Formats: sequence, C-alpha cells, structure tokens
Amino acid sequence: MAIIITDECINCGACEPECPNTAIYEGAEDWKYGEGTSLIGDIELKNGVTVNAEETQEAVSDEYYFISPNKCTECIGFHEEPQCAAVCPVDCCVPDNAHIETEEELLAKQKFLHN
Amino acid sequence: MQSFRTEIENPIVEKDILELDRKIKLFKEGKIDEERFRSLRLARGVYGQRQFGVQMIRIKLPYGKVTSEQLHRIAGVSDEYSRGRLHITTRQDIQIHHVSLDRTPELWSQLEKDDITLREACGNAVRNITASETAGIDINEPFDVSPYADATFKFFLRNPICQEMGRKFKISFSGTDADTAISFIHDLGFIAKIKTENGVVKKGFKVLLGGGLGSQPRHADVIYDFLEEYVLIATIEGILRVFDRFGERAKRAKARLKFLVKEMGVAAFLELVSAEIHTLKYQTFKVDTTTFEQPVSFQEVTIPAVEIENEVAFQKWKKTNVIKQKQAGLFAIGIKVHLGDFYTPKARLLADLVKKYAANEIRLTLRQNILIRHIREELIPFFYVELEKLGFANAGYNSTADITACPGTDTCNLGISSSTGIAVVLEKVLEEEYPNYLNNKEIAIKISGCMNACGQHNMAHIGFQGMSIKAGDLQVPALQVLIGGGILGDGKGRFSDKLAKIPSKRGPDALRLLLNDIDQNQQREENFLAYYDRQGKTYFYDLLKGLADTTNLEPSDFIDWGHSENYVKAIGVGECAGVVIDLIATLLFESEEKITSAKEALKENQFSDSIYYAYTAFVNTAKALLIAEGVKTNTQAGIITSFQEHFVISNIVELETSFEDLVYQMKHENPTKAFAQKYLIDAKSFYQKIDAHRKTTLSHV
Repeated sequence: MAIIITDECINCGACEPECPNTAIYEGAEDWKYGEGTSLIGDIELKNGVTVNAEETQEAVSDEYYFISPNKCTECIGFHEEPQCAAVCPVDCCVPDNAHIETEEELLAKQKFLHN
Repeated sequence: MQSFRTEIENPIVEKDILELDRKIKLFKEGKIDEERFRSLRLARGVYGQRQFGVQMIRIKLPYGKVTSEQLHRIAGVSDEYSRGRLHITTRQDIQIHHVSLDRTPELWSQLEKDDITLREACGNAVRNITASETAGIDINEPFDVSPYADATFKFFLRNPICQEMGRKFKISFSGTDADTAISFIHDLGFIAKIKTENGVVKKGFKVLLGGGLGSQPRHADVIYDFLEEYVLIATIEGILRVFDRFGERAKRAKARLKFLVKEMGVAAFLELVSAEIHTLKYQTFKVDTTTFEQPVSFQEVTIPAVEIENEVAFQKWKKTNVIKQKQAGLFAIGIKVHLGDFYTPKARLLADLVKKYAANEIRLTLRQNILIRHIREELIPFFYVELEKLGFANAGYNSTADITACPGTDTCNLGISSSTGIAVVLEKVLEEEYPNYLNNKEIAIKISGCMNACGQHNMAHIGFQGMSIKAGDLQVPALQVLIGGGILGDGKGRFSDKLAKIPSKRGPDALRLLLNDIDQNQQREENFLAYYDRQGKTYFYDLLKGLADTTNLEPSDFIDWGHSENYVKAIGVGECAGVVIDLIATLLFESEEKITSAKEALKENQFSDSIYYAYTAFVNTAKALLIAEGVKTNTQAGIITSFQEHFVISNIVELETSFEDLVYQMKHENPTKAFAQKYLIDAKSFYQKIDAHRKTTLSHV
C-alpha cells in the first residue's frame, strides 16, 4: 500500500528529499507524474486512466506535505523501509488503508515509474 | 516607565527602543496586527518561548566578543529581567528566558549602555555575524578576521536593504582552513586567505554561498577562491539585494537563500549580483583594522602565588583546555560550559578575573563554550585555581565529551523531544565509561531537539535529533541517530546520514554500541570518517537497528529524559518566519511609512538608503493591489512582473512606462542625490495613484 501523511504533519520537509520516486510534495504544490521518474508523454495508470506525464496535477493537500499515491512504492525496489516514515520526526507517514497493494504490485509500480 | 528615554546617547538607538515601546502598547491595545507586531519584535531580539506569556531575549554579540563590562551588564540584566541564567548559543549569542514583554524596551536600553544590541538578533534579517573564536590569536591564521566580522555587523545593522527579507540570513568568518566557523552551512561563509601578487601581500577570502542545515541541508557553493578584502562589503550587499528581490516569501519552508541558489543556479545568481553593482553605496570599502591591531595591554598586577593541589588534574586540563596563541608568551583558556548554560554570580567573578589578569575580553564559542584570550604563561596555574573555584575547570574543552545541544523542549516552542536531557546523560556515559574521549578532539557529538538543527546535529560526526514515535495511542520520545558528518576544512564539509529512529531512553545504548564498535574495529591510521566510509551506512544501520524495535517498550520509555511524567508531544509553530501580511490596508499604510523613511534618509544625504526605501514602497504598494485581486505574491521580482501583467498592460493603472522600467530605474542609476530625489517623487506619485484607485474601487463596491 502507499504511504499517507496525516494531519499531524508539522511541515518540516524532512521527507521530501528522501523519496526515491519524487512522490512527496509540499502542501498546495502542483505536481507531475514525470517529475523524478522516467515517465514521458501519455501514460496509462493502473486504473486505466490516461494522463500526460508533464501535465500539472492538483495538490492532494493544501495544508500539509502530501504523497501522490500513484507514485509511492513504499520504497520497494530502493530501500528496506519507507524512507519518509524513517525520517519523519513526528511519525506521521503511515500506511494508507485506502491504497492497499501487494509487494508484487508495488514492484510493478516501481518498474512502471522507472522503466 | 520612560526612565530609559533620557539615558540613551545614540539617537538612532533611542528611536528604535521608543518605537518598540510604542508598538508594544499599540499591540496590547489591539491596535496593530498581531503578526505584524511579531515580525517587529523578532527583529528586536524578542522571541516567543514554550511557556506562555513570557519571552526569550536573544542578545546579539558579534563574533562572540564580550568585555568584562559587557558581561557584568548582561548579568545585571539577566538578574533584573530574567532568572539569572545565561545560555550561550551555537551562533555566539546569549539568550535569557522568561522575560516579560512590557519590560523589553527597558532591558534593551540597559544593554545599550555597554553597546550591546538586540537589533536583528531574530527575524528575517542578517543574524549575528559569527567567527572562529580563535580569530586574532590563532597560530595558523593568515590574518585576524574579527575586524571584518565587526565591519559587516555594523554595515548591515539597520540597513534598509536587509530589514524585511524573505527569510533570515547567516554569515560566518573562519580564521583558518580548519574552518571552525563552519562556512559550508552558512548563507555566506568566508575563510581568510592571503595571496601575494607582484610582491604585495593581499588579504581576502574564500567565499561560500547558499549553505544551510535544517531539515534539508545544503552544502554551500564556492563562489570565489579569493575575493579581495576591499570588495567584501559590496559583495555581501549585492547578494542581499538579490536575495531580497528574488527570494521566496510566501512559502516559508522554501524561503532560505539555499533554495534560491539551487533553483536559479550559482552562475545566474551571481550575474544578478554583478548587475547590482551600480546601485551600491560603496563599490569598495576599506575595513579599518587598526583598533584590532593594538598591542595587548594588561593591568599591572602582582602574580598571586597559588598551589596546585592535584597536579595530574591540572596537567590533564592544561593539555585539553589551554591553547598557545600566535602572540609569543600568551595563551587562551577554554572553559567547557555544560550545555552552554552558566549563571550570573559566576559570570561576574569571571568578568572580574578577566579584567584584572587577562586582557578584558572573552569570546563565546560556536560549541557553546567560553574562550579567555591573552593569558600570560606564568598566570596559567593561577587561572586554573580560580576557574576551578567557579566550576569552570573541567577538562575536555571541544572534545567528544563536550556535547553541543540546543535548548529543545526545555524552552523552545519547536522542540519535539528533550535535547539537553539526553546530552547530560551522554556526557555522563562518556565521563564514566569512556574517559579517553575527553582527549578526543576529532569526534564531535551534537544534539538538536528538532529538525531545524540549531544544535547542528546533522553536520556532526555523531548527531541526535529529537523526534517522537507512535506506540498505539501513546507517543514515545525518540531520537534519530545520525553519523558521518563533519568539517573537512577549506570550505568542505559533510552532512551526516540518518541511520535509525530509536526511543530516547536508548540513546546511551546507541552511543555505547557505536563507541564499542569503533574501539574494536577502527584501524589505527584511520580517522573516524574514514572508518565510517569503509564500513558504510548499512553496516551502522544494522548495528543500531535492534534499538529501533518498538515491540518491546517499557513504561520508562514513555518518559523523556529529565521528566517524571509520560511524554506529551507539544510542538508549536516557528517564530523565525516573517509572516505573510495579507491586509491591504496595512500594506498601503506601510508604503506610506516607507516613503517617509525615504524622505528622512534623503534629508540626511543617505541616497542609497533613500532609494531602497522608495523601492520597497513601490513593491509594497503593488503587492497590496495584487493581493486584492488574489494574485500570488511570492517574490518581489514576481510582484513587479505580475503588476505589469495584471494592471498596466490592461490599462487599469496608467503609467508612462512599464512598471518594470519604473521600478528598476534604480538598477541602472548610480545612487546620486538627483536620482534619489526623482525616484522618491516617482514612488510617491505611484502610491498616490494606487491609493486613489483603491478608494474609487471601494466606493463602487
């Protein structure tokens, strides 16, 4: 499953540079699939929706740092444990129950992001 | 209450203090905006603290230099307005706590009697200028950097170009390539260098730009290998002007210079700096070094005879705490100040000692210690005996056992878990179990209570950072263990790796694991960092991993060091930030104030200052209208462009030229009287136009 940042976030920004997928953004910041990944042009997401990797996506949270679930692999393929959770000073990067994925699915996502 | 009014000799300082007093009253009457008041008080050294209703006061002490008289004055102020404790910071300031807001103007006026300021100690200004504590006495230094640090402090204090920047700005001066002022983590770091050209020895600096710690540390870039001394001030001014104009203002987490430099690139940034050169008041500026070059003088005293009771302890202390100076026959003595805290009765005795038997000067150090300079060799035993009486003769100055820690949850709003508590415990572990580390000056241990890194934990060999871990419904006070940072010298440094997050109570075990491993496996010829690199990050992660397990917590793990009750997470909001003021009326009112300041500066023939005030009036006025329209106003440069796009091109506001050309005249003109006059008229007429426009708009609503 993806990791989610809860509203306990103190906006310190420690997690942002740790993410191997550039899935973490500051609150209210626009984001793109293509940032920090090898995705370019039109891409098809797991749910069948097609988006452009360079197209600006809307912020998930306006107040706190947020993780784009489609870009989060829980650090599978990179690290032993989710790096955002490892460095979060208030332990607010937690598993997202709304986005539960198996290890295989996460590995596949990692390959999709960095082909 | 106005007793301080007549006592201050310097009219500028008097005006400053009276203004603070007036604004406090207006704030209490609810007549000025709270956020606005906060940024005003911060720029006057008045900071919030964890305890409600009282203030922390930061006393700005450039390069940590304090005379006996000043130390007496600070002690007096602490007794009168605070609680008698003096805290030395990692940036060579002194902080006192629990001060009532109402009494801060009076406190400040007391300090000014001995030329001590609070101005720009906090807030989005040029903070205290730090320097190597051995500046002026160091055997290895090419020259004394103190006069340059002093000139920089004086030049930028109250300077209109750096009063309301997007974020704070830190400058350091290192005397030698050992880089003890840590240039690579500063917005601007200088390292003294000399160069011989055609037989002439020139003084200058290696210059580093855009470094910083915090939750996203960045290593500064070298921008000059050798910058001659006479362009030092101009270079700093140019950089501050560019930071003021292009620096982020809305997003606090991205507002430090390091982010701007990263985004823009060093070359592009420097190009903008060089384009500023016309506008500067001084293209070259000769720093007067004469007062720093006087021969050291002493009071005439007979050397008191002393008896050393414990010769072994004395020798041990002498080995770790006494430093030979470049001046023949003179020595400096380091006092290891536990956690940077000392108390006024001892401060007074120290002040007297230094005045009578040394040369009336101490320096506060970046590792929260005190360095007494100019001790004659024959007085060393006497000083040892006297310092021992004060409890100031502990061996191990600047050693591994001399741990740096910010105040953390004791008084700071931002602290997550205790930093001082764990520091006390770790120092005890070192003294009792690893006494040889009292002689180790290679490995530094530094601790911060949160990611903001006031304790500089993420550039130390071994660092700890305050955190919290969730365990069911409860919170466990925690520490992140970091390893592998350090100063490499000549402007290079390393940030440490974040290795493991462990319950705070296991901090001592983490240190034991690490030191035992070093003792066993580090090769004789290897230094600590070489050993760390050889084993690699994963090796140390594996070493510490067991301590991160939270399935076996004990009740005591829920209680932080120095506490008796279960840990409660309480993290407030930082005060360092300039707050975004969105009130249009306030903005317009401020533009009026800036125009008044521009007029006053012009009257006093301060043309460059006047132009800058007029410039900020333009920007501020434009911002007011943009905010009314809901347009983003993140940077001054952005405001100028957006105003052109939204109001000028669409003819909502009619100007004879583009708004850019109107405002940026100051980039192309020299700061002459004629131009300052013209520019002020332009700023005023622009303000009047906008004010009228706004009044019409409002009347139509």
